Amino acid sequence: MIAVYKREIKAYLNNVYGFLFAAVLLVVMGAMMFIINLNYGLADLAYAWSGGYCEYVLMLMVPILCMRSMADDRKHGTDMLYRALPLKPLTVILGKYLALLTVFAVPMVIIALYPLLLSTFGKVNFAWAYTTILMYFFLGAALLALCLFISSLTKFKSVAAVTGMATCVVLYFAPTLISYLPYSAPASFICFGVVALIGIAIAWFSTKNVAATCITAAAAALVLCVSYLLDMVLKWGLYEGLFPFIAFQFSPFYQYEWVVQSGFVDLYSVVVLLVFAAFFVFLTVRSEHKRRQA
Amino acid sequence: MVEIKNVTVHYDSNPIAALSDVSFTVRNRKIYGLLGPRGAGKSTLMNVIAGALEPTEGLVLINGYDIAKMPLAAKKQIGYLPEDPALFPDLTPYEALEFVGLARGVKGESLHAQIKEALSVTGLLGVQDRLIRNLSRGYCQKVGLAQALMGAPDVILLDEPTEGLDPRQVVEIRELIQKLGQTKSVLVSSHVLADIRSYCDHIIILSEGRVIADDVPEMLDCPEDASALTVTIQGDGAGVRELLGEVKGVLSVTVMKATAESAELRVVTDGAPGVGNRLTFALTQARHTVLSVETNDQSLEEAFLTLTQAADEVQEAEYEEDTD
Repeated sequence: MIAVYKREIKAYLNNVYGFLFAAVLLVVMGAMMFIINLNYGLADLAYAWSGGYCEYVLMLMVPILCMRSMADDRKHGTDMLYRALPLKPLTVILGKYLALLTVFAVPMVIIALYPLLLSTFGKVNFAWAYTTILMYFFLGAALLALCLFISSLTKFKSVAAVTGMATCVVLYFAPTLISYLPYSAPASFICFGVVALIGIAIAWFSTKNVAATCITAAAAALVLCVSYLLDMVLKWGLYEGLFPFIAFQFSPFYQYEWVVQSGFVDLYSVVVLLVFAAFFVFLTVRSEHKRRQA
Repeated sequence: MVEIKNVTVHYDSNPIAALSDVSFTVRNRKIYGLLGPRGAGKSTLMNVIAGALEPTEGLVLINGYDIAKMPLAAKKQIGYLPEDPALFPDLTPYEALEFVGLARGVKGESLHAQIKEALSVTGLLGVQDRLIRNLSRGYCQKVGLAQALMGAPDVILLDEPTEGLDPRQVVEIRELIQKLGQTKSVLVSSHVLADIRSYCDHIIILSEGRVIADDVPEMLDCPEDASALTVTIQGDGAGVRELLGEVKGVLSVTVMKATAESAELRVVTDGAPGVGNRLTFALTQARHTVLSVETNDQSLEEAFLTLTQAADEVQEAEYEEDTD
């Protein structure tokens, strides 16, 4: 893993993307602090860091940072080198992901000095400020994993970047869109059915395994139908508004906003962001496994 | 040593196999040439042996390690130069070798010593600090070769190592391969017969994903004082190669073409009278129906050209069908 990590760090130092990412992040975050905190005399970072602009930077820059991570290997044929070397796919992907986290961590270390700077002008709630910074880092880590996975699906950097940005935008607006969905039990049931169908389609295209896809589809249909029927017969009210609730709970942007605005370190939100990141790292590893098969 | 047993590869459930029931062994301190027309499945087979591609069926053993069950141990024994050298354009040759060395578990002084040796052996010392993206095709090929030498592997796989090189570089690479063959098992793939026969101890001919010949060059060639026969028998020809190999006066047997209905074999004999009769007798005694026996004194070049031509004709026919 160290070999892959060192190679990736070298790649970010040898091209513009790492520097561009750090520069844009520092400029925007600095500008936000200047406009919101210094201009209006507000000591808390949360005012500047919630409500959109700071998340927009991630939605724009994370796909640009990640686009070369896997796509370039396919373009230059170095994915073949990784496969022929005594390295597990997990080792390769973790090496790449840790390098991305390192590139993201560098400007974040500088940004972590902002609360200290603000404290010279007034009283700063350091716990809230550093919770905000930590949650921003976790949100970035989740988006890095998502865009790393998207980069593994193509050999064109531009396609990876545009797809990554579009996916981040959809994720960002998902809580708003979901809030328009009806809260009735049948609506939740239908929404879960659609999600299950998308999952089955992904399982089919990534494995091409008829038996595995059929078993997954049968298991999903069984769980959904049985639980829905039990809910209807026993009048538990479980499905009432269940889909919007779960969709909110698994939205990384919603979890970030929730903690930043409340000022409390909510372990659940941290876990959701980390599980989100782990899930997409896992998918990237599976995608690499699939590529090794004929 | 590399043992390949019944390897079959189907891409994306394609019913036509890219490799079909391929079996052979690459012995220690020998140079094996994998020869075949373009599209014969050479690169697919190289990728399978290198562990970069999992076969649909079959087994690959590298020094006794099953590459499917113990991939890390098996891959440590292999140095691989793919057809398009897999290089990071933003690294220098030194950095590229450092990466491969680290990935192979080489550390400290040993790592730097190996890098220096690989650079020196491949003649890259003069360009070790230039970015790979600025190097010529010949130098890139040499960097790929140097990468294959890192970690001192026992088995070296070289897929079309002289492709795109100028004549002087081709000679240099050939000399290097010969040197490697003194201490390692080397498998070199090429579609250029002259390239392969100049330094290989053993030749394997691959056509349409099947091994159609597996022997030393002397036995595959038809010597001037020997004669070759083309024998066609009914059935798929299973076990016939071994059967005819035991007939007195038979020097080598090569399966040229085999289908479920018939098999065509090229039998090189010592030219002594009566070999043809002994051969036919052995076949009929083993209950094989002999469809024809023809004299055929073509050399390996001619045999290979016939195969290449046949493959080209098939491709042309397919192209014409597509355009129609």
